[in-house]
Amino acid sequence: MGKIKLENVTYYYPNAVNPALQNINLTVNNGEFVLLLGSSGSGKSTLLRSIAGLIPNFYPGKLIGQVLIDEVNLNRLSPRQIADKIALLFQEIEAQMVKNKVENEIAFSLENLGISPQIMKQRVAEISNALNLVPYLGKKLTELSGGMKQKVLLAATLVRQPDILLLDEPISQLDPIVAKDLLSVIRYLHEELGITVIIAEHRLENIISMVTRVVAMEKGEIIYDGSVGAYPRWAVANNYKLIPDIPKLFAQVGFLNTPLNVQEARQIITNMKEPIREENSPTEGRSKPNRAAAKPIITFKNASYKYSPDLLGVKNIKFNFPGGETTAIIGHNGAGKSTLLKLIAGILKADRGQVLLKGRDIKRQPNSLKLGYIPQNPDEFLYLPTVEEELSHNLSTENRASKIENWLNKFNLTAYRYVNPRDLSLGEKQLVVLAAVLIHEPEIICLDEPTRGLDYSWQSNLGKILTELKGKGSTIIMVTNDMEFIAKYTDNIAIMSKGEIIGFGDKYDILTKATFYAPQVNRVFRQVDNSILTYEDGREFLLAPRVCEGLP
Amino acid sequence: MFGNYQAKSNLFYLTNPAVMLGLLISWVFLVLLFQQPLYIISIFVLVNLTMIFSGNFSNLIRQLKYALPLIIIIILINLLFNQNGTTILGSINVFGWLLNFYEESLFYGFISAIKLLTIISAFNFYSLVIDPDEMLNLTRKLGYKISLIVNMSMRLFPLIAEDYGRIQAIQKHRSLVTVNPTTAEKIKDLVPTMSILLMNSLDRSLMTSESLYSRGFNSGNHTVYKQIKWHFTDALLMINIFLLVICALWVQMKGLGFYSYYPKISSFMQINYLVTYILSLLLAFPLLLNWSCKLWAKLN
Repeated sequence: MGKIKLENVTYYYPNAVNPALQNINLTVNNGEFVLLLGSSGSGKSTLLRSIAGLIPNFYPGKLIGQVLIDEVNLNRLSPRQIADKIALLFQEIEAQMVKNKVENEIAFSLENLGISPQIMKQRVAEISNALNLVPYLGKKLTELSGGMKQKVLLAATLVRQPDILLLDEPISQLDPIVAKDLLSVIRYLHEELGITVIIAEHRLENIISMVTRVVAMEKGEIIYDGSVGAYPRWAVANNYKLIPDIPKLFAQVGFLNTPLNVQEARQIITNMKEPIREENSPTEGRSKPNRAAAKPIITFKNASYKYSPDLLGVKNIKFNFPGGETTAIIGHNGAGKSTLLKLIAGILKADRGQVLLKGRDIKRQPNSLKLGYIPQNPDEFLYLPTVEEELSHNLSTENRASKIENWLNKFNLTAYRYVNPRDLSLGEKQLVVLAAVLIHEPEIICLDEPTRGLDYSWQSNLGKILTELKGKGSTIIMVTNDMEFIAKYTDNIAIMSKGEIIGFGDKYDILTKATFYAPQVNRVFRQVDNSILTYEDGREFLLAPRVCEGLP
Repeated sequence: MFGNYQAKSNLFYLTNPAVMLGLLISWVFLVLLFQQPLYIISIFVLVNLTMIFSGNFSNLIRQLKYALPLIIIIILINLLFNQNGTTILGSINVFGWLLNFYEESLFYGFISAIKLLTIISAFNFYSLVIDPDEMLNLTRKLGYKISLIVNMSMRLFPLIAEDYGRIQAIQKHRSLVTVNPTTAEKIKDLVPTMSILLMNSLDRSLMTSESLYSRGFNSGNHTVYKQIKWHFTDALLMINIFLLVICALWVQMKGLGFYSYYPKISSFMQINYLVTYILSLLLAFPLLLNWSCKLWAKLN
């Protein structure tokens, strides 16, 4: 059993003036699959913590109201009973890891629950098989990429076979293929074992069609609680930004039954009258905007990097990054994407070969604000006591105040101006880092997973800011697995595998030929117009008069 | 300074972590117990030889690189501020005050540095050869708090070492770190990196304990996924540790462990040499056992 009931729950973190949760009334029935939505800092993680019993057992603060699990007040359950029933996968990966080896990490929770060694071995073997982790069982966690670590921690959570599974951004760092794998395992556990699942996530494309219900939060309050089918229309009617492209597209065009996934949307397109489909045969017009061939700005000359004799970063890279354009680096987790970005940024130095920045070896060039680097983890960047100081650091005195004002506004950080950035949520910290780097308008901008923790609204704002900077001449290189973001805001894509760049081209060339890396919108329209990549392309197509006439 | 555990195929990596903990404690106990330089130097040499033959020579060199400035500081402080000796090596005039450098202070400082280096080597050796996962299983029997402290501190140094380079490089990009810095600037540049390291460590500790709590750590009886095996060599090493400690206590009770550095360095007695041989033999036993195991494996 896994019924959750929150009655008039209000919670204040210690010393906080404003509540993190405000008068929450929520009942999640046994076996429900709920998607928890909300902008960065809206209270999603706090809500999950209160269901997991960490509030008030771990975080003292002030809790009003009660949380009931299977009609029993959480206060009456012992830590063992709670751990036995509820499993929570946190957002922060590194801090959750307790053991040294993958296999031991997966088994750790089972040891704590007193499961017999025989059963433990069976369960570890089962979950490792399901998540394709068998080859990694003997490896050290520190040797794995961020995405792989997340996968291991998910395995360590799922292996407990809890009644209630709470997931806080479980796929934020995973490549699309691995993310789909993981979600299918979660779906299997939900469907076959009847586990109650609450998942908080910003990447909704693959999740929204799996869930039965959506709960949206803002400023600690629930603003929507209803069926997943009704959610897109509600979101469009209320101009709520947290909605994936496919349902948003069809809801905005006026469909009553909004499709939630590629399959449902394609069915609608397929049901169009035949002549319409013929008239809209694949066009070349939308693809490949006519751009002059860009001059290379960063050149890799047989560059290699190894973290240790057994741990490859990148090998023998021969490549030119075009200047003044946006290039996304994609590939499986552990392919060497972040290593490549760090070599460009000069954070790592190539063991062999050279990395040239405007024709000069990067090792011999002094550090300069002309090259901005945004790390995957904002906590490695933020140091100064206020958001304003983070932005003003090393900023030229010319128009300093107005620049800070402008960039605080751009990232909606004015309210946090005098707040310590480390007290903000992950998404908000990410915004501070972005603002602190982009305020210098660097000539080359390197971003490692820039959309991690950002909701759709912020992803869109970031995309616009990056486009604006590109317009001013900046070269943008980003590592991301967010294919929707790539489809909208990049020019080129480099594909990496096992430390090598195995493909490069215009985004239209790469994405329209891809199977798993193609954005969802492209997969919907592929049969009628393969050049459609983004929400805007799809909207343009659906609103064309001849298509409107042909709609069922 | 402290290295990471990386499995290797020699006796030290296969030994029960409790026995290895016993070995570590006995080394630290001995080096703190004795004042006699001969014994201290023999412990220092054998601890470092053990580290080398466990396959960690490069780690020893790295450790020396970090520890060397510390050793020099200890020797200098003793030389400058300890004025109890009698054999003057030299003097300088500091604002009208004559500062003498004594042979005894230099020697005492040197032996103190050796003591510290031995302790650093012993802990480094332990962090290199003990699987932290096995250590966690072992310390769980000693209680929640001890287990948590041991686990977090074993993870702390390698994690800080990993974070340091990455954060330093990121801060360079923010130009918080000066290009071609002077020594004063180098120290100043450390501030942001160290602050972030400290803040991250605190945040991480909080999050780790939160994760441990939610995963049912210390919530009642627990089981062990992989039982730590007890080998015949573990028993031999335990006997060796026991003999070593008994021998050290006997030496100390007989007054053979004491040594006088001031006002003049004492000379060594014949019995001191004999005790050094015996202690060295006992300290070398793990090395001999390691070689015997390798030989046995080859013969088989």
